[in-house]
Amino acid sequence: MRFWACLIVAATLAGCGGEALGPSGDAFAWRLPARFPVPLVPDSNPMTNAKVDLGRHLFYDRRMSITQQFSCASCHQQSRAFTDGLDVAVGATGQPHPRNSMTLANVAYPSSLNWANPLTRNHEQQALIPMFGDNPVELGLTGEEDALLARFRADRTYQGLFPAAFPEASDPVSIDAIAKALAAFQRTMISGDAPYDRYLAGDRGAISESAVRGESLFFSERLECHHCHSSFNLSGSVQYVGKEFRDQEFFNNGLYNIGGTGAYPDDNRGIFTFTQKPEDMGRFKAPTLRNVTVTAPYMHDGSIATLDGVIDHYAAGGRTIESGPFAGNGSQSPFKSGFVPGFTLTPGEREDILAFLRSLTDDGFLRDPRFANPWPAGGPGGP
Amino acid sequence: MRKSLLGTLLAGVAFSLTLAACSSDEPGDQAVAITFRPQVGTEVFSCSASYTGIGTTASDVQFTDFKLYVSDVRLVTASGVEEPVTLAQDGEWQLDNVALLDFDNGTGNCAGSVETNYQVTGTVPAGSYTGIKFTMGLPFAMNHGDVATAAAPLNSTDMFWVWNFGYKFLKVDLSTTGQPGGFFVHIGSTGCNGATFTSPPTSCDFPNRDTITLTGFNAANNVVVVDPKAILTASNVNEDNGDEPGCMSSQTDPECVPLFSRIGLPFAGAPAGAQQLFRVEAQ
Repeated sequence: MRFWACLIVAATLAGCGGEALGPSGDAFAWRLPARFPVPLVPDSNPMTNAKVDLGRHLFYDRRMSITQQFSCASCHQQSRAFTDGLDVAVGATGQPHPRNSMTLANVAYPSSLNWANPLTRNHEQQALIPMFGDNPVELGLTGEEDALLARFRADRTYQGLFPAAFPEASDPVSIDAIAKALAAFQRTMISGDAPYDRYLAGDRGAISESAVRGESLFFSERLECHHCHSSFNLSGSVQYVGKEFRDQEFFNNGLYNIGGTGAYPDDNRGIFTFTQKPEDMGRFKAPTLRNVTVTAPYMHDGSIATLDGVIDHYAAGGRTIESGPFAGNGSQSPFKSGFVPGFTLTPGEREDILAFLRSLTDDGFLRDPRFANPWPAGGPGGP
Repeated sequence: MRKSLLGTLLAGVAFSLTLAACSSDEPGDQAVAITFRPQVGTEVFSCSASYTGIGTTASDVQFTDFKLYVSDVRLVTASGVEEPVTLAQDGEWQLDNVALLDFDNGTGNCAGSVETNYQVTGTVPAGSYTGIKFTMGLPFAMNHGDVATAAAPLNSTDMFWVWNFGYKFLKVDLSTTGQPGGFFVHIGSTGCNGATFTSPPTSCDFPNRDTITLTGFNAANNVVVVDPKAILTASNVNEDNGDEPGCMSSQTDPECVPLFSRIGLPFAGAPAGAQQLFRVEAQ
């Protein structure tokens, strides 16, 4: 009897989780720049245009929060490469987040999501963190899921979008569907048409001579930038079709060394929070540098305001905080990465580095209508 | 707590199997209902009440949430034989060998749903029992499944621990004189690792599953009292001296030290103390 129970349960599960690709003519096509590999997609959530469209509506929908005044786009604004310009994010209820809003450009690729979470498996799971996290509160939907789903079931736009995205689901409006659609939309946020990309593609005039010199400095063993900001994404480790193994990387870049013990502020200790291993103190992901001119302020806590300040930080091999509760010399942290030894730049070299970083801004991505608010004026959409 | 479609289906499957096989109505089985009673010291727990004398500063507190998962419930005979309780698969509060106890009725200071659950129900081989044993927490495999599709009672968003990709096993949220915004007690597995793009963590360094053994318990006459005041006796609920406000199971959180000891869990190299969260009282 138990054997049959298993079979029935398995069949039930399969029936509930099944999804179809869109109707013919709706086949999803990646629009990948040269040099860009195909993103990984879980078998349980194949890409379709209908799902991406639903995800875009949800991403911009202010009803996706406890206050109904706050959307994913509140912290992830397209004109800033899906960051918000704040030191640290502020959630729907006004609670500050300990960390800076991350860019979503090329978020299909990183081997880990968030600033320092070795457990984030994929975008479907990650979407649940801003929805249901309670410390800090982001969208604040804990305990609100019935009200949320009721709002969406009653919305005429969604009465078309959810069934189109999940045509085989008996109840297409679900938390699972929301997470899957948001994941599908975010995977399409690909930024690969910066002047530097055109330069790499053969347009030697696409970036300035200063930027070309800056490129050489960036990839030099003297500055060591490229060890952590590598690959087509100029970021920590990536994964994609053909490179499916997971090589997550997290680095301590000497931002804090409280009291000389290597300690970081309590609410921002990197992956130590997960592993509880002393050597993981202050280890964060190296984010992509694409569009970095529009993603200020910098670092996991937004504690460096400008790119000049970032260069100062790495030139010093870490940050020294003279006084206050976080006082300490970051360059002497026992946990600091060996790739942050410090360096000296001439004023001209500093300008070259900045010119290279500016060449990573993809203006088309910041304006691409495929990633913009799809809701009509006066509707529920907005940051 | 929300009853899910899948939960309903599973309950239906379980029910029809029960009818077909009579598996849980075997001649030697007896029904059992184990009542858990939330108390604050000697006072009945309520979302609407204020309580005094909590912790080292004798603080005034209100509760904003109080839930916990129990699993692997066993009744123990006088000679020490343990018999597992086969839980009723109700599609709402109980799934496999796991039950959610939910004392938050959504009134007063609590913001949860109105539904509550104070009981674990099921069957156990007929006999005379004098003790009870259970685990506070979820089994490893259930703790790291996909919450977006999980069946009740694993679909309680209050118990999601999304950043940690698991569930809170115990959630006791307080508002105190010194910390009106919250002194939180969230106990769950930490130090988890081995997650990949398509698979969940494979192990956790700090499982924080609490095995509780209580004697002098007869389900017909006794209840299991769950008393957060008893685990807070050495805590200063008005202050936070590191990490998260209260204790969210971080191995470096100073507020976790006295709490883990009284919950009965080892912590940061220190062995477990005697658990004081649960005790047996007369109905």
